[in-house]
Amino acid sequence: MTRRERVFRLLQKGKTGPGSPAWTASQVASALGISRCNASRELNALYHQGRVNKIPGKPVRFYARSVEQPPPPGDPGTPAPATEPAGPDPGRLPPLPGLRRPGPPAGAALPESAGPESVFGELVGARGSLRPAVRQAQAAVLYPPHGLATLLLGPTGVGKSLFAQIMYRYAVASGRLRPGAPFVAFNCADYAHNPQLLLSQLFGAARGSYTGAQADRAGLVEKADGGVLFLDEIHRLPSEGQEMFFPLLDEGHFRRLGETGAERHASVLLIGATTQDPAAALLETFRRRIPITIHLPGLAERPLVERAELIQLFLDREGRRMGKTVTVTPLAWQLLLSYECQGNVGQLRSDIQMACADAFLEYRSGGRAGILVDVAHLPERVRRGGAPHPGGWGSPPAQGDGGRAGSATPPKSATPAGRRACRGSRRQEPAAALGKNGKGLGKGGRKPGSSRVPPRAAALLTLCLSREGSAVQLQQWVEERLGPQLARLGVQVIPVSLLEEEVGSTLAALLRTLKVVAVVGTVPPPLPEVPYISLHELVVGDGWRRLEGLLASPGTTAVNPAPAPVPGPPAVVTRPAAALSDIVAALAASLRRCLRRVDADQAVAEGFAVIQQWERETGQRCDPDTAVGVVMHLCCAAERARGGEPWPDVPMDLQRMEAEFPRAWQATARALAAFERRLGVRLPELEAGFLLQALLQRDLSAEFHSERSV
Amino acid sequence: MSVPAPQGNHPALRVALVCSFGMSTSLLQESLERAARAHSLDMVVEAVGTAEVRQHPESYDAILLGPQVRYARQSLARLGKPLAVIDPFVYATANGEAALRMLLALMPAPVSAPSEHGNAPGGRPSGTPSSRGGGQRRSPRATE
Repeated sequence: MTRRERVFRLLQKGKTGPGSPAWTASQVASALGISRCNASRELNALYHQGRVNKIPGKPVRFYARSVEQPPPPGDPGTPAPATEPAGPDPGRLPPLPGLRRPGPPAGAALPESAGPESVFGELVGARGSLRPAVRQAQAAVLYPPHGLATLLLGPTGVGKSLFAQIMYRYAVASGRLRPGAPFVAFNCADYAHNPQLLLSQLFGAARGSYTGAQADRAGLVEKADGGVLFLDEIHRLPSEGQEMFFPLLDEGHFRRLGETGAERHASVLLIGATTQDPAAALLETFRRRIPITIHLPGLAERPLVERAELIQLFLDREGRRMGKTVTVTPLAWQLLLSYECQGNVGQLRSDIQMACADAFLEYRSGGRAGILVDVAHLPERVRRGGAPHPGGWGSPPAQGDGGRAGSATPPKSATPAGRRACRGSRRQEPAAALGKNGKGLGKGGRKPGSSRVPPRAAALLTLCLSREGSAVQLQQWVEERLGPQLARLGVQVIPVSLLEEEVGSTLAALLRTLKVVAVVGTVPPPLPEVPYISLHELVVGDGWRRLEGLLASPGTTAVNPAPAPVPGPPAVVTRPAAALSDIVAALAASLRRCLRRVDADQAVAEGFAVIQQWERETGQRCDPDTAVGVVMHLCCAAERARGGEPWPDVPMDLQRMEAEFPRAWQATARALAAFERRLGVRLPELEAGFLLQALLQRDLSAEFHSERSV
Repeated sequence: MSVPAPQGNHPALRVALVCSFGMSTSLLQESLERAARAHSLDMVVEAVGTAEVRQHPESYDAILLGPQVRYARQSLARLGKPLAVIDPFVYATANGEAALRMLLALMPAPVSAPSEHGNAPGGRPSGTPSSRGGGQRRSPRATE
């Protein structure tokens, strides 16, 4: 098994555990006993192959993509889902706060069967900001004999319905409810205009109890007997309706509307949900009968790392739906991470769906190879950013803020998950400042002291107009060159990739939140006050010197230099060494496109046969890199010979080569002759001279030449 | 083969893409030039054989070698130009973008002292072995 497969297996193995642990390069390195540099290289290669996902931040973390997502075509086979049952060592690798997965990975054992605890594990933040809520919910469900009525509080879109469903599944998984027990959901707003109808829906009605009640009819309470009755927007339940629940909640008794006979019996776990302050919206006598109140935090109250997980989750889900890998540009990611999402998780999900739909359209119209979500695809409100994050970037989950809504205790950052969350979000501050886009600055300031973003963090922008990712490459290049200096000064390098029409406004907004030391890019930005250094100047001019000067001049850095960010690993300049089989496949694929007169696959095979024959005859080895180049050369040479094209006249002392290396020369000539015979071409003798030098790894022309000149 | 420099008075970067007899580099040549254009980088790429580079080293600012002429790395390094062997996968896929990144990473490291060519009109990096030290150090790991 190659090193890359070992890394992939390791990440995959984590998927059978509860939640979905993500690994840093260091963790992978220590788990497999390889160097961190190699681990990082393989992880990045896997990421580029679309087999693992990345969670941005410092350090970047990786997790295996769901197996139901096929690898991109041409990928040399995804290994079967890991069968090892063991998850990662919990002591060494803290899993992330649970990442909700829509279903068990195909072929893997159902993790849900492991125990009822895993039901909540699917929720993003189950071990983070939702931990107190989860605990309360578990207590509510398990409380004997039939659980406790529960009120879910939280702004729109926080996932109250989903939470109620998960409570129900937990009740079934823990044996509190029988399998197949009913889960009846009802939105009280649906019949709010007609209280009579609403109550008859809930409690049922006797014939003639009201106009139009032509038959005895059971209500939802009866249907929910032995299960859960979920009442959404419970504040729309009129007072008399609330009162009708009293006997049900107290004794398990109720009557249908208009019924006077014996009371009916139902055992129902009531879960209500509301966006309103229950003190104002519900009768006090009703509230008293609902002992558990669970506050579900809004997106703004949750740590950034959970938002990142949610974004990734929704992107993955859209990707699965489209059967494609979805990638997001860094700026779009920042915007998704930072825009004011009034509608919380629900809105985040629909905004991501809209962006993916737009990106998919572009993909369909042939714009690009994969689905890339860029700023242009984001809905307007995402691009506009919105007001500053109320909790402040990097704030721990809002301490004490939860009090306004109910009895839920806000998460303590003393939990490991909370600590991780804080760490994760704090590291992202400067980048998050970019995402703010500054556009919300007009709308009311931050709460004093609530933000930990240093005022106007210093940044260096790498800018490109295209969607080709030049900005990111430039960023890597600049960081590689000036990493230590940038770290010392607390200057972040931020890639910005924009459409032409967005450049002016977006950069102007950035300038309000960031102290931009310089813009390095492929096009001059319309910002006369900011020094601009072109890529060209960096390469052939004195751009580096100018850039260093700008960084060194006082006043360019932040007022309070941020703690030096830990410099990441030096960017891998070249592609991580690929497996030879990958290279051969790639080679054949490119040659198929450009060879007309010879069959590319045959030529590639015969090319490698030349090298094998030579190795056999001489007992020497040819390194794989050279082999790839030689094969490519031979294929092109065969094509050229078939077309009768001339060879350049290159001086080469073939006789001396033959004289000095008779055995290797003979082997070379024979192997080449076999190649010519099989492909039906004639190659000039010069080719043997080239081939000998490549296979021997000696520049004989230069050696002979220098001897002569000495 | 001169292209008007689009930015300031910096001359175009001249790159020698070396293989044996210029046979197999033309694919990459095109894609490398395309990648450079996408980055608004003024760059001229010539697919050449080892002999031509040796005869006219002054014509090139940087040298990229195909993996099959790896053997010539040492002898060509004496020319004192930034030089690297192209990763075989990059070569096989004719990935100009990747080759460009590799090339950019080769270019001289920033100098702290004011450089002597900084103010010269059309100043071109001098290309002496000492000032190219960074370039040599940065030979791509993958091909080592």
